[in-house]
Amino acid sequence: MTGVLNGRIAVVTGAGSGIGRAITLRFAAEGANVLAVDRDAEGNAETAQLARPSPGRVELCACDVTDETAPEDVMKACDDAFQRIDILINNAGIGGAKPAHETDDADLDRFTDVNLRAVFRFARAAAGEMRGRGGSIVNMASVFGLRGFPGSSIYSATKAALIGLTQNMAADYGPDGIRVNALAPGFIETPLTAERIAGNEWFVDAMVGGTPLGRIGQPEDVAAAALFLCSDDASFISGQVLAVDGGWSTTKFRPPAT
Amino acid sequence: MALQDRVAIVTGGGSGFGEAFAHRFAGEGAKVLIADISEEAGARVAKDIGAAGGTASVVQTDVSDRDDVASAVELATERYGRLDIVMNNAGIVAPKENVTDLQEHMYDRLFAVNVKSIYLFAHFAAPVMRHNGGGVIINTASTAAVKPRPGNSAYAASKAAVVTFTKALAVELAPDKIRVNALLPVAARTPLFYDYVGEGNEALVQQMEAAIPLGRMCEPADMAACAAFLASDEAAFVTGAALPVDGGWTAA
Repeated sequence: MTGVLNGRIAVVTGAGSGIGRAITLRFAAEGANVLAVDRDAEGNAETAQLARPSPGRVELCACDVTDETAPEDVMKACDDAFQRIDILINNAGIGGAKPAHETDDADLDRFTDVNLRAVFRFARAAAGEMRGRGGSIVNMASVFGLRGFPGSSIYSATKAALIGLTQNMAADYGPDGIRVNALAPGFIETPLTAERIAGNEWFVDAMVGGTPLGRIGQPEDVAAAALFLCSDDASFISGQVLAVDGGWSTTKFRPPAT
Repeated sequence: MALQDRVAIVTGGGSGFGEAFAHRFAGEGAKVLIADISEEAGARVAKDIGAAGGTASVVQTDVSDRDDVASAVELATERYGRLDIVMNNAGIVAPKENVTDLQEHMYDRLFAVNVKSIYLFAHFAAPVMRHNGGGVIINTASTAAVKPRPGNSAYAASKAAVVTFTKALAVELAPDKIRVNALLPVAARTPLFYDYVGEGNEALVQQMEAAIPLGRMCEPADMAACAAFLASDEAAFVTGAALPVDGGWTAA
């Protein structure tokens, strides 16, 4: 085990499944102590169970990221458990958007609350903790924040907003040694995308057919990129959005094999 | 080690970023062929790598010359049995001057070294990588491609061409499992940088540094660390990316 994150303290939101779980497991395997945050206590506990052989410790925090006191509660829980925070993986989010004309105000508020407002509030709270000693924040955007895609209206908008937030926080907190980056996963096989895949051949064709590398991504692909961004190898990377998408956002076209 | 037994060509591996790429790749277990216009510079780096327990050798290469590039690719496979990684790093700048002063021969040279080299290495290396079942090409572009500074127009345009070349090759070569990505460094204190600003121009350096959110220039080791990630299986689902290594300079 290389232990790239030995002794680092990370908070991962949405740790109970999918990409958040993969990041938690990878970080713990690399020696980080992780506060796993999820409103799904059962999924979160399973993540911790899976991390048990790892050198890093995983502590659980059952919490809905949209709760009014969630950011402060989580920072306190992290401080109680590990006395510090070095890394925030702002990953919790929801999918399943619809075209704009089918999106009512309740949908609009729900997406904005989870995918933007909560992410902003967590980033703000973590930056407050990290000022003066540095840290790394990774916001989970999406390739749909970089490119349009049918039926993704408000989801795309919230994810694009995270990219703007990432760039601006990188500028504001660079002098404090806080790096802020975003990941833009392409089509990744997770519980969140499973809902969308089910019975929707068109969606699968459009995504895999538009992915030059010709496969569905795995949560581990995104976890590896998150590890890179939070490691010392990326100590000069800030304000960037890295697509982990098999080339989807470059082209949305998969050439025939040669 | 992330690149154990991989075979890499590092162009311009005799100095600056290239030297750091060669050292990092070798440190991760790769066998490195340094393709440099200066055989002497390349040999020095190869010797250092050997002394540190790594495997590296040198071939004198003008990356804008078709025969030289074909020979370098052939030599890598002959000497080390395969070719997994091409690190297109060799590049030149023109001295800081406005387009009205920029001479045509300098413009031509910029595009020959910075852009034609990308074509030549893809042209000769892709068939070899396809035969191996895949590979990685990493191109060194520049933040100048997206945020140009004055007095540097043709260089900036050549690096923008590198970014677009990267994306087009990523799409085209994906079915062969060849990933193609670019790194966009902000200025670093390399020999190439001083070709641009002029030796000893520390006032300009400090001005540049002050505009970078993380408050410092790029270091060759920063670039090497990012290249090591992109070259490794950790980035197996990353292709077509153009990643600035710039302390937040292009974001702000």
